[in-house]
Amino acid sequence: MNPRDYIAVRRSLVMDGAQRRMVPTSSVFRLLPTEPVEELVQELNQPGRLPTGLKATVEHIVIVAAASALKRHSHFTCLLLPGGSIYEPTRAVMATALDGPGSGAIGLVATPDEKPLDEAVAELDASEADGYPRFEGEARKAVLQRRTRPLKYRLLVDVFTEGLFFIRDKVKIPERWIRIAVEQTGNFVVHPLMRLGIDSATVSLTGPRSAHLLVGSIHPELSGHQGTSHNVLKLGLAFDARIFEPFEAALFLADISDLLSDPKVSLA
Amino acid sequence: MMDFVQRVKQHSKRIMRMKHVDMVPTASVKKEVLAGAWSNAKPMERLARLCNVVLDNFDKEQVLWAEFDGRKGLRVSKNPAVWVGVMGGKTWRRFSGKSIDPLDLESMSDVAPSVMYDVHSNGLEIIDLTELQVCDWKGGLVKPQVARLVLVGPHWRPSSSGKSQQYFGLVLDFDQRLVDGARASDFLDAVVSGLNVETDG
Repeated sequence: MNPRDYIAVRRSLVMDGAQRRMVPTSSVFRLLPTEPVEELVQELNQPGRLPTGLKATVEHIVIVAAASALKRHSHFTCLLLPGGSIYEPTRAVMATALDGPGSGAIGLVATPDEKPLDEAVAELDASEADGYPRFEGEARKAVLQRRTRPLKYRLLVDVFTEGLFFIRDKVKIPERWIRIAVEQTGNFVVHPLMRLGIDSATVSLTGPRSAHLLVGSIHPELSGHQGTSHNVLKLGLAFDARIFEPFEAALFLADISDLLSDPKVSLA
Repeated sequence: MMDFVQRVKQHSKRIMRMKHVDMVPTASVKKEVLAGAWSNAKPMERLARLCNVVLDNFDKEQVLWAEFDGRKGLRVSKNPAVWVGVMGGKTWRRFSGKSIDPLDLESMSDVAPSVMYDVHSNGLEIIDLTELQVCDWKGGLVKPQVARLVLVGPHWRPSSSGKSQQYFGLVLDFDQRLVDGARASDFLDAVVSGLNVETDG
């Protein structure tokens, strides 16, 4: 795909159905010891525990814990609409998202914490089969379709499209569209950065969501004077800085961390 | 949930009315600070110490102290003032003058929830997130804010002597249009020196 087509696909993926203006975003990070979670993952991956072909990962357990913590911090699923009102969804819908062609996935799972852990993991694993590749495929198809059309038509469309993009970026989107986008794409996003081997990332909120959870890769961390180390992952929460204060994000991460300190008991 | 919605509704109407919803082009610089006597103090004493060091360095970078005035736009005050958030930004208060007493910060902890969010900082903010075990921070500023200094950590790192040592992180978010990275870094250096600790990073 040439750069021009790639930009068209990205533009379509990132901009469509999203708030056009960038939301002021801040992020807090916290280190999460992973040993208890890794033990649970090993236990779940014993033969006969999960359906054939499915495999539990640390990321799945973190998502289930996050869904459980969202019950007490449900305001992170709310959205500040352009008119100043708040959209309060009736339930949390978790979406996993990884920004990369081919490797990306948007898996929508509602309330994974209310199901038995085995079922939740199976559902999370299965939900990634479609989603992002589907959206990407649609955008790619639209771009390729346009390319096959006659030159004069393409020029005409390009001129109009660029103009429309310009106008669309300036115009306030109807709140109803944003509500629909939230229903379709989930109201709380988890970025499994560990799949890319990334510790942490800076996220700018452009989509219709108020918070993104960032799950970094597992790495050793020093834990005292003696130089002993233990495995941790960097858990981050990128939040809408207009409506949340840092302590709210930090308390949410603390809740997830508490749940994952003994996941066999808390998520059983 | 209701508290949050009511708070945000109240807050959002005000910020929408003031058109203070735009994101400020924000850049951040971070320095690591070796733990020491300053960090072993009680949380409010530590925060007060940090604020006082910042106030002492008023002359180093005056643009960071600018505040948005509704009518006159950006205004640099002759007297330094900081917006201090205790308990990770649960309660905010503007302090001006030469020093801050830890007892003043302690009294902020008792503020009733109804007035917690009544003020919104529009100058230099200072927050201590160490009590909430936040190890890192990446900040975005909203329009009235000009800069924000955040204390995070602690974490352990190996030193040249072979033993591991405890470090805190000082992150300065600033409006890129008003201050350049080198000046922000110089200001952060001055704060770190003021804390009388060694730096690494």
